[in-house]
Amino acid sequence: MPPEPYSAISARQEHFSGAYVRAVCAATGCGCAKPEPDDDKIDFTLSSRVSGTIKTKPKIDIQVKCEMSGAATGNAETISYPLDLETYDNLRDPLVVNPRYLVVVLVSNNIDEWIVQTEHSLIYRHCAYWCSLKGLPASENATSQTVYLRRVNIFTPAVLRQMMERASNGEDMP
Amino acid sequence: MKALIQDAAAIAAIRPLNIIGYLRSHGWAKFSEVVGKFSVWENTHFPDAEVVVPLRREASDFVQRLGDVLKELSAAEGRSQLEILKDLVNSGFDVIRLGVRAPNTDSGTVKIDEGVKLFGEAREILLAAACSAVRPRAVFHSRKPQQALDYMGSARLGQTEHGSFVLTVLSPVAPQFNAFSDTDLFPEEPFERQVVKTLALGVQTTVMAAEQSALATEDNFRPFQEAVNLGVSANLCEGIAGLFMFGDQSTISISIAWAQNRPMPEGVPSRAIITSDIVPTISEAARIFRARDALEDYVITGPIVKLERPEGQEQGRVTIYAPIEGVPRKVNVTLLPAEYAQATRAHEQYRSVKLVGTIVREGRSYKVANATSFGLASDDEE
Repeated sequence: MPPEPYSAISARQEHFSGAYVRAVCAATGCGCAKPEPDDDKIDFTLSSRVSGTIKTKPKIDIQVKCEMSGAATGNAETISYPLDLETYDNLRDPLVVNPRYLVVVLVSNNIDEWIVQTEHSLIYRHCAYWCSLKGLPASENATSQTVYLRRVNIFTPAVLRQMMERASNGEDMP
Repeated sequence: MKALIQDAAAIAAIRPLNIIGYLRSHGWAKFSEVVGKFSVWENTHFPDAEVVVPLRREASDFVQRLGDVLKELSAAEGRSQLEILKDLVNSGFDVIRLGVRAPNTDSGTVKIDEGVKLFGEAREILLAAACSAVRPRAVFHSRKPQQALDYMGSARLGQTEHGSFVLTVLSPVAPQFNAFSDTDLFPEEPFERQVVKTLALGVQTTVMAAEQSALATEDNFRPFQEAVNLGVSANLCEGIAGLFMFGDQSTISISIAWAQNRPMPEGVPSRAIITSDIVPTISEAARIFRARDALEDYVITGPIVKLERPEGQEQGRVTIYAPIEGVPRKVNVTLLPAEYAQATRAHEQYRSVKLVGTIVREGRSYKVANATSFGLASDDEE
């Protein structure tokens, strides 16, 4: 069988959600790097030069997930995401040095709708939400744990700046 | 090219306390800390750098953060991550490098039998230095000081290195709590550091004594005799001579890289080179040390194999067949009349005798001086 000419859906999701995070970093002015060695399933380490009481080069670790569910609609205050247990446990570890956040990027079921391009703009669809799982209790489930992200917690440059300021003082965003 | 370290296991071998020792000795100061999690270090020489040292090995980002330490130090100090990794892993150790340079080790390898012997002699050299650090003596016998044996239990072999064949011994050193403290006039040095200093000094002194002895016109053993207090012993000389098995054109170098977590010792050479031409002198010195040696307060137990009393004399001389340093030897001792009579009875009854004294060599045999506590050996001592 000849190889598929284009990559699998899961690879596209990974690329797209990564591009979303990089775009927010670019607009904020934060560094964004893939961690090496890749030892504990973190996708990106974001860095800045915000000088605080604890650090002068704070870093934030981000785990990015992409879900093909379409944009969040209706009146619900949260969106839910089933997280595999290994990732869940990594993100709730209270001993880590850098604050860790989960970022979930919601995209359309139709890949043709992921970006909208004109001469004026490139629009990424739809939206990235963030949450911190630090200190949550161990899951009692066997394979995955559903986590809830508040719809007001959109991953924006303003939020990223707050995250960096808190990190420079040794704190997490709640 | 500067290699990047991606091997998680190699990175995980770094210990946080060793990083802190390294940072302290390289001019870094603690900027902040989150108790129980991590500490942050800065250095006025590298205003752009910030090293975050994780504390808890069980944290899921521990290896990742150690990797960050390597990256940050490499960028700040302009050295490869590999060099820094080596320094960090070894920062809690004095590293002794024993290098062989010989025609048949040029490939960076050694023959198995020679290699095994090399490691064995390295151990003997280290043990000799440890014994001298407890108390300098010309000869160390099979019963070594406990402190020296404990030390041998804590020293480690490192990875071998190229150049041409280098074996490494890691001697652990406890960190000094206040680095560069001027208030301590006579800071107490840990025993481990004393051993390595004794080794460095002892090897260098041995080489110098061998050179001086070649030039001496009379009593050419004196340079060795006078060097005992500096860590030279029969055992050290035998160990050094034993390293030479690689043919005529070989050279052995012994160098020390001092642990980063304490100030470097002053007045101690960090490198000595031994060439094969002085080895016969060193071997001979070891032999003379042993020949002139005495075993003090030694307990001799064994059967009498010879009784001898010249006509008309009261004192007699007996020969006891007894283990000396694990080897059965014939040992001569002169006894008072009553003791001689007791010895005669023991001989008749096939009983062993026992006494305490100083054993010295007498030509090819041994004799006991200052014998005391002569008597029959109890049954379980026979």
